[in-house]
Amino acid sequence: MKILIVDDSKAMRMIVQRTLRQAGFGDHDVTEAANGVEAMAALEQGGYDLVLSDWNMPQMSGIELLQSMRSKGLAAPFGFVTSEGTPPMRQAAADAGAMFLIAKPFTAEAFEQVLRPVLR
Amino acid sequence: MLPAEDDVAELTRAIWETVLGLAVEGPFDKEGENIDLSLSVDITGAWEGTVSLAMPKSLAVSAAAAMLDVPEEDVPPGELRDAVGELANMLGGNVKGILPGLNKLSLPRVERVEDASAIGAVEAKRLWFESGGKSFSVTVARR
Repeated sequence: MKILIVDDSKAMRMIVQRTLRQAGFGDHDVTEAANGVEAMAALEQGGYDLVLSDWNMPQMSGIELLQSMRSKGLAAPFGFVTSEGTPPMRQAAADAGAMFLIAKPFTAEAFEQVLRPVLR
Repeated sequence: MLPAEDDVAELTRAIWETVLGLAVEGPFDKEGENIDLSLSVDITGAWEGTVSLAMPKSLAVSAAAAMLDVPEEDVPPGELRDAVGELANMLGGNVKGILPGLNKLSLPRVERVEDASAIGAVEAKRLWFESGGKSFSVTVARR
């Protein structure tokens, strides 16, 4: 399966990739984008099975990316990986169509539990 | 009102140990030295203030190496700000989670806010920690 990791921090993109491997999802095809604009350009090429996105990013936030995807008919499953896991943020994520929200700091166990139903 | 010192310390330890795999000691009353790098995030809304993470370059290199999964000598100098900024972002996001009301978190920015009066804070608390024998601090300041 093809996964797009969207985060303005290179260090965090590395950590998400490493955690995917530790959670047993290392055999998937992973691509990175540094913000929502780059992500949209990649997504418009098609073929993605999952988007893992930060929320708070310059140029285009994660929630703006999700809204833009849906408005353009891009239906790839979408989950947030963000430092903000408050109930209002989780509700806003769900209202916009996100499947899940993983709060930073996270563990490989959290990734495994949340992503297993998506990355079967 | 500032968040409880114990809560901020616990969030700091959790981020350090989970993200970096490094043990943390503290908080200590004694101030550390040789702070080179300080990144801050602002929280605005029902609670207005700043969360700042400050450390020496040597600890920033250790943190970046752990995050990028490379030896310390292979950390590109340009990645230090990104790595420390992401840690500040996580701290700010988690502190925001224990504050009352609806708030927004800014992107990380380079700013020395350890002198809380200089940013117009009405109250502030700076906590000192050690990791690998190097000091770092977390400052929470309310405007």
